[in-house]
Amino acid sequence: MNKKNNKSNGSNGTGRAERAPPKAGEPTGRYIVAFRDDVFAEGIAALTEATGLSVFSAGDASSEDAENGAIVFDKLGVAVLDAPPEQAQQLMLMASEGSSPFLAVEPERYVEAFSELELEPASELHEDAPVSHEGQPANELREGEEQNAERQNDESQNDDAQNDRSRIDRSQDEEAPSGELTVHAEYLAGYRDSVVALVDRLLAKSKGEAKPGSPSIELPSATSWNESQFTWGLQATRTQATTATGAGIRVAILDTGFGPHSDFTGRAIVMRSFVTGQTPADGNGHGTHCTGTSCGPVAPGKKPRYGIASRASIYVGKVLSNAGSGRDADILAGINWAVENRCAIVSMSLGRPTVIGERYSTVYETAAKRALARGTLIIAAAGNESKRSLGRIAPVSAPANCPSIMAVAALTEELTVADFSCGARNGSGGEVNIAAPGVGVYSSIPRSPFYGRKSGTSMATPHVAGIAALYAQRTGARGAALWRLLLSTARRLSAPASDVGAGLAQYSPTARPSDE
Amino acid sequence: MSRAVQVSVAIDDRFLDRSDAVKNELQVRGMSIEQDLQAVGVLIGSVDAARLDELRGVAGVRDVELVGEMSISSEDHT
Repeated sequence: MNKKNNKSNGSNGTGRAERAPPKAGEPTGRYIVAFRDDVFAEGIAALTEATGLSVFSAGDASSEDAENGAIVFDKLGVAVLDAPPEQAQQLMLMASEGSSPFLAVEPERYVEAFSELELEPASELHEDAPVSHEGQPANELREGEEQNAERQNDESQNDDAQNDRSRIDRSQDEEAPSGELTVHAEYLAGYRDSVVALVDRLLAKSKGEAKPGSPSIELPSATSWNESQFTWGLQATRTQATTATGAGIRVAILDTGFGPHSDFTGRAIVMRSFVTGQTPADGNGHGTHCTGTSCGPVAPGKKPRYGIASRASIYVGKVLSNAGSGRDADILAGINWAVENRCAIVSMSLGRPTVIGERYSTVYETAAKRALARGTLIIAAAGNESKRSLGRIAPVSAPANCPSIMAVAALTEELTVADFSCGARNGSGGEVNIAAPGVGVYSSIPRSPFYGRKSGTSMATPHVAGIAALYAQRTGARGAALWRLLLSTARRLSAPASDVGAGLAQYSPTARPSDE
Repeated sequence: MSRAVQVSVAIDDRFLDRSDAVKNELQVRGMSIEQDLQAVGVLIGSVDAARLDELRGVAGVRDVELVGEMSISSEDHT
């Protein structure tokens, strides 16, 4: 995914490209950068430094400038630039920093390509037009949009529309006077719509009007993930470039066991089976996948890299059978084993559905609270019983519903809450505490082809466990301090806390534990 | 006729340093203790289902729960 946007599908402002008219929703190949009001000049300087592009004021730009530089619309506090996706992604990450002069960075998209005579008031257009759909493949339209596009094609058969199209086509063929910027009506309309959509979303967010499940504005959209080097999960959690490795930190993965897997050859792994009659080897694949995400190597046998705490000490406790289920007695024994072995983190991608009004388990809570006091943080999957697309949000599963166990929700590549991810329906521990990538997660599996994708809050949980190991190594934080550090560095999302808790778990190389 | 059920028992914080006394009393009331998870203060064992409330009445017992099952929390494999 995430190829460089196909510029042949988008007007470049010069009128030279031979191509079909752009469709609504298609990226133009450029990106829009919105600057914070009070640091506009700093934003321009930062943009220049980050991209190496020359910056031109919109009123002064020539057509060549428009192609090779960043065009700044100072009245709007917005710049449009042509940057490779990797560079754009870096800008998006910068925008996610609270201190960044960038408010947001987004792909510029076509929404509707009307001629200048068809321009409607921006607010009306925004309501009617399919705008800036994050999470949608760059060159695909939603069903409704396809219908809109088809309808437009049909309507273009009438004379007026034909005339309008002719005007656009003619403008593409005309030579611009020297030094004068030639801009297509369709380019202007697409650009305007993208800016309107961005501004509307920013305003809605500032007023707290963001709809549940809508994507964050602070992070790359799905069309930005390029998994050639790192999984989207590592990129979203900002763990792909850190020098922290989790070395010296013991991470227990209580699951279906582990391996074998060649990516872990030579790695010190302590394994124990709590399942009667089964060895610690993973006859399911789930445990190996989770272990891979939390503790996989820097250089796997096959890219992309999928593991976070690449040098953490791995403690595999097989508490679920090869069939994928297990008894409370064995899971509790696994927790006890992890605490006895001074594991700083326990990752548990397991659970049992709960019902509305159900209280958490006193036994699990007691164990988890004592583990926390002894420096072992337990992180567990929030559960997959929801069917949000059908309006059903199931309560957080046990034992993640214990107050002393961190409950992890799953996010899609669009950074919206996954359809299946459980939500906070019960109080007193039944909250979601944090969220992490949990759809289409690529990691290790113990049989050919040895890598695969899985979805679930199971996959989100080891992302958080891996980040916790990085923090534990770098800061020395343990137990409740580690819990607070994870939550305080999570990236806020526009989805409600009942779905994603503190937000997307992310690693910050500079964060320190609080003194609480 | 009653049946044996597997249970987990959480020991109260104030009795962690006297857990042997708690275990003895649980055994007197019919619990067969299979595992003593000392690091987290939990006991695993079995008891006749009809005597569950007797276990809950033991001094130093925070709660007694039936052992259930859990499973993996992933949806699919693509």
